[in-house]
Amino acid sequence: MNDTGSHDIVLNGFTKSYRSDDGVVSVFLNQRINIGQGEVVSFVGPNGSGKSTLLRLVLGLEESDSIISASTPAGKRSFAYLPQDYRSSWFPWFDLEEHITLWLTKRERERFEEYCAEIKLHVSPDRYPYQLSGGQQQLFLFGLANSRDCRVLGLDEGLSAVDSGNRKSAISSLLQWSQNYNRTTVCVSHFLDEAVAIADRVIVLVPGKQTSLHEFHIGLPRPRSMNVTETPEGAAILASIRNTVSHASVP
Amino acid sequence: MQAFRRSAVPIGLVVAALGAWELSVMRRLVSPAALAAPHEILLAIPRVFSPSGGLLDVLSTTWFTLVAFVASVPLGVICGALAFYPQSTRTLLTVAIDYFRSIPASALAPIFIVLVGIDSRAKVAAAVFSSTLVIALSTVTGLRGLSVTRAHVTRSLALPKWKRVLLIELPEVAESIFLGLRTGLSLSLILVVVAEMLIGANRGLGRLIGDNRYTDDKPLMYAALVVSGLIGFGLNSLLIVAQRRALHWKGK
Repeated sequence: MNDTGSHDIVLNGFTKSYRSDDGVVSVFLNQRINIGQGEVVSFVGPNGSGKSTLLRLVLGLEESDSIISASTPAGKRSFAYLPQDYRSSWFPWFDLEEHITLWLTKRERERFEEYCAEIKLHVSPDRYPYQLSGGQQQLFLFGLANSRDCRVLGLDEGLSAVDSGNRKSAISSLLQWSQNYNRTTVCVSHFLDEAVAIADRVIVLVPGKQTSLHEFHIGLPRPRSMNVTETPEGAAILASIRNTVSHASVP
Repeated sequence: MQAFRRSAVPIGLVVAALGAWELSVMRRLVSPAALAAPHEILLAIPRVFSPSGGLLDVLSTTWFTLVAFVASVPLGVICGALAFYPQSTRTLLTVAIDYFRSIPASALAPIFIVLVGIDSRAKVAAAVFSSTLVIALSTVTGLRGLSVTRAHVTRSLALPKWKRVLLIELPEVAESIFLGLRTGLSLSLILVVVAEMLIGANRGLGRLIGDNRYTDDKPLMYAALVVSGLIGFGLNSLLIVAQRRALHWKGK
């Protein structure tokens, strides 16, 4: 049987040690992750639990220390990626127009313009990234990544400086494109309720000497509202995830 | 008033130092055959710029410094990129550049005279050689420090390699390259002047300084020194302006 099966991304039996924010070395020991074509997956977990490392592993931007078999997009399939530090996503010597040409084809550009109109992001293309506010920068980059006609989209907390209204519109746009184009989407998320609202599957990272991964399938119907966790079904799922995670993290 | 008070101390110190210098020469504490008094040097500066005096020397030194520097900019960046990009030869070539850069460049001037002959080509060649190596080294150093995160984003854009190098990576290391440019410019001036002194050139500030080592016209020799400093300072200031314009996004 083909090892990758019907999955778009496969990391089978991977081990990876990494240094978390507070300098402690943690490790994913012989873990497994499969992500199906078109699936929306969210990674949540406390700071330093390895969410960003896991995203880079899943995209193939970073190598595991050891692995049994893998299928990742980098170098093989088209993918878009936004790192947590959005300043590193810019090429600060280029203005916004030059960024658009670098990121997008003509057709993708139309989508981007649609997105800008939707979230009312009006910035003159001859400006430079540093002339935008932090929130505008994130919305702009988010739009570039979201407009790419790619198989896999990987976002690392791309909207941390964006106010909640724009955040919701941007995420709705993301979900709409992902659904329309059957695009595999992997997001690192700060908030569990947001992760539940957007994802087909939430993977919670519980830190420890060995990081453990806890998967939750979110069976809520689509399209969903961003406030879905305020409905009884949503709230129940959220509570059960919280419950499991808090038990798992007790030593 | 406050600005006046702040500048009073440094100005006072400079005046005191010049006064002490002036006095020590006038009182023959130092031989006038070795050192000219500040006022004599000041008065000799117009002679350095006069058409019948040293004007052609000033122009010649400035011209050859610029020619050498301008030639070494693309050469240095290309050499640096060629040393960095093929991973298998990266360490070898970087060490080689660092080694050749470490040879005292003025000691190379006689070798270049043997290689390319006693004329302006020797001094330009020596200056290009040294300046190219510093610029190459600063390019490699910059490329070694490229942001890993930005490289991930760039990778997702799937650009052709030449585009990645020219549009993303070289601009990213522009600041480091500029550091090399400034050292390269100073080195070019040093080597042009040293070569003019060593090869008995018939033009150049180096010749003006060298020729007056053994004459009584010490004020002219020192004035030529002062002017060579002004050339270096002026060219460097131009480069700083260029850097500020080219790297307009820095620090924002």
